[in-house]
Amino acid sequence: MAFKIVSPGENDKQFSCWRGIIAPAIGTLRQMAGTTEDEFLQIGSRLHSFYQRSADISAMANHLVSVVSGESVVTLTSRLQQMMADMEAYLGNARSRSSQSCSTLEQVQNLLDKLSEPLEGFHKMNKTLRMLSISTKIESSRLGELGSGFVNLAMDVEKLSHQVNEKSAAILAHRQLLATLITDNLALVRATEAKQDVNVSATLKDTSANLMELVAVNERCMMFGRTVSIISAEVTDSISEVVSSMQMHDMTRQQLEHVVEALERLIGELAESKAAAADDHTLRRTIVEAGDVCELQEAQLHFAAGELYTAVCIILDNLREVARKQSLIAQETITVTGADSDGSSFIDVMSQGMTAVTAVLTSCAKADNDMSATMKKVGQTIDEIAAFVFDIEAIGSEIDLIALNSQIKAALTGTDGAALGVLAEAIKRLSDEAVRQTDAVAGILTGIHAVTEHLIADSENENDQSGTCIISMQDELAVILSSLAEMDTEMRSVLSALNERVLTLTQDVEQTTSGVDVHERTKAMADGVLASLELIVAQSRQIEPASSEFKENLRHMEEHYTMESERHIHEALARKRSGLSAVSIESVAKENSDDSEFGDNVDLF
Amino acid sequence: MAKLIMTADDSASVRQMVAFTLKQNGYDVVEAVDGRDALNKLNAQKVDMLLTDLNMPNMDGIGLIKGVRAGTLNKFIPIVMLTTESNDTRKGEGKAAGATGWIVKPFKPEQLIAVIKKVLG
Repeated sequence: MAFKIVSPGENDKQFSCWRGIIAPAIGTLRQMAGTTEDEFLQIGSRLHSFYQRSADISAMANHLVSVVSGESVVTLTSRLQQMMADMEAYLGNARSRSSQSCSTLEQVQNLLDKLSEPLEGFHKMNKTLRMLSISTKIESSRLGELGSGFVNLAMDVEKLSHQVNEKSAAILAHRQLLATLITDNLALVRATEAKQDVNVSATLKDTSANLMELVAVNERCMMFGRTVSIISAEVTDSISEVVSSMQMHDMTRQQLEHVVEALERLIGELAESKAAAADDHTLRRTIVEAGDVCELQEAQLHFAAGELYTAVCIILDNLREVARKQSLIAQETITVTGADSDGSSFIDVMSQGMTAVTAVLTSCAKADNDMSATMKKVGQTIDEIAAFVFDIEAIGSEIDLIALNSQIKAALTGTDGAALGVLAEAIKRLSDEAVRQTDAVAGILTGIHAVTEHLIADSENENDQSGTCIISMQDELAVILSSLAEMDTEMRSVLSALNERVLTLTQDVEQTTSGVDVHERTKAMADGVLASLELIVAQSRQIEPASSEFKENLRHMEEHYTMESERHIHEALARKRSGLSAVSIESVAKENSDDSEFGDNVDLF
Repeated sequence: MAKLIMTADDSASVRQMVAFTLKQNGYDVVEAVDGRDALNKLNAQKVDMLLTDLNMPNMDGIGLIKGVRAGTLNKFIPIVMLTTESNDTRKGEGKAAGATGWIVKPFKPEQLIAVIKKVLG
């Protein structure tokens, strides 16, 4: 490059111009170093709160998880599973009993239908008795004095006719009552069963699904514990990054102070050069040094400002990350516990399901009671019919006796009483018919009794047992419902508090970070100073090219460095100026790294 | 009972971060703004450990170490330098003055705690 040393006056003007550039740059750097710490301290003062609140949120998430997956929930799940099995078994038994009862009632219904024939027989018998009574009266009248004994006989026959009519009517009425009772009960049982089929099926399905959800929640919660630990570790890492980056303010301040020291020294040398009206050599040396110093300080400042900018970005990013992670924990907590963001949960649905199950069980118990009452009523009615049959049997015996008396009287009357003998024969046949019909009714009743006897006994016995079983299940369900309600209340409370804390933490972090612009302001300041230094470098190099003796010329600066990065920057620039291959700061740093047990920045003596 | 550790540094933000790290890990902290302030406090109060910066106004870290070792109350406590200085010569000076260890800033909290646990046994 051409030699461009100009006249002393021009040089003075140049040096003065550089001093005029450097002086405000120093002021800016001092401002950068001395007025920004408050903003770091402000962030630092909130860090403890953020960290503590993050830890609290993680603890709350863990607590919430333990609420829905703790030992009590495992026990509850197990009890619910057993309850479901018991309920299914109970409902199966109830259905089986109901089916058996219905089948029995249908058999009774069929047997009752068979009563029609003997009852019809009684009806005919009644008509015949009345006819015989009339015929006996007529014949008795014809015989006059001789047949006077037959009048009483006719009246007895008529009386028996009334009794048969009365008893058979009573049996018919009871049969009708029983038929209606059975028909109504069968209709009721079938309707109840149809309704219960839908209810029980839906309720058991829902409860089963909720039970599976509870089991799934348990499994998810067990895994979530690990997730919370991972997220908490990540939050700790983020806080650790913030702590490291917060120290960059102090480090940058020291670097800036070193830059200021170097520039102050340069400004002094530029002033001395003017005062001395220096010779060419001194002028050249001053110009080269101005270029070297400014180039080096430009590199140092560029690095320091970049470090500060990056550090602030890391601080802001990590603080926001802490808030984001806590939001994530809250969101994950809602997911794994099966709750909605409004605080409702599957526990609500489960409680409703359990309430429905209780209603179904109550309905089953009522159906059992109704069936038992019906069977009792059937038994009572059969007993009543049996009493009437007994009466008819007695009537049959009486008819038989009347027939015998008739035959004797007819025989005593002689040939004139032949007609009465025929009537006596007819009465005798009626007696036999009465026995046959009462045997038929008695046989049917015995059949009904045989069918219903064990069922009535079993029904009473089972009804007692199932009543106890239902009461036990209802008590158990009440306890479970109470536990679920407690769990739900606690879950809602913790979830609400968790969401509140996450929200306020997020807001506070946002409020803290949004107001931080120290990095942008210092970057703008640094850019201004860097532009000034770059201008001086360009002007100085235009006048006098860079020297290969850079390292030697600036050796004095090395004594002021405290940080490895400063030495590395100096070394990298010195290599460049010495014609050695250019190396990055990072590679120089790597050459000198010495890892220890605690990291490459720790030495224990 | 929590161990008491003194942090001596002329940078308020560094003291703040050291105190934050120590308190989070269950230590009690006493702060000093420079070497002289630290020495005055150490002459009046027993601590379990000292973390000190090197370059401070009034009295630097080396002077502080020498002062502590020459005293009686905290003569044998572990002293770890916490500084931006990484020069081996300076480290040698620290060691010669009686420093137990040397940590170059910036430190990571877990790293600082690991060193403290190590030197406090």
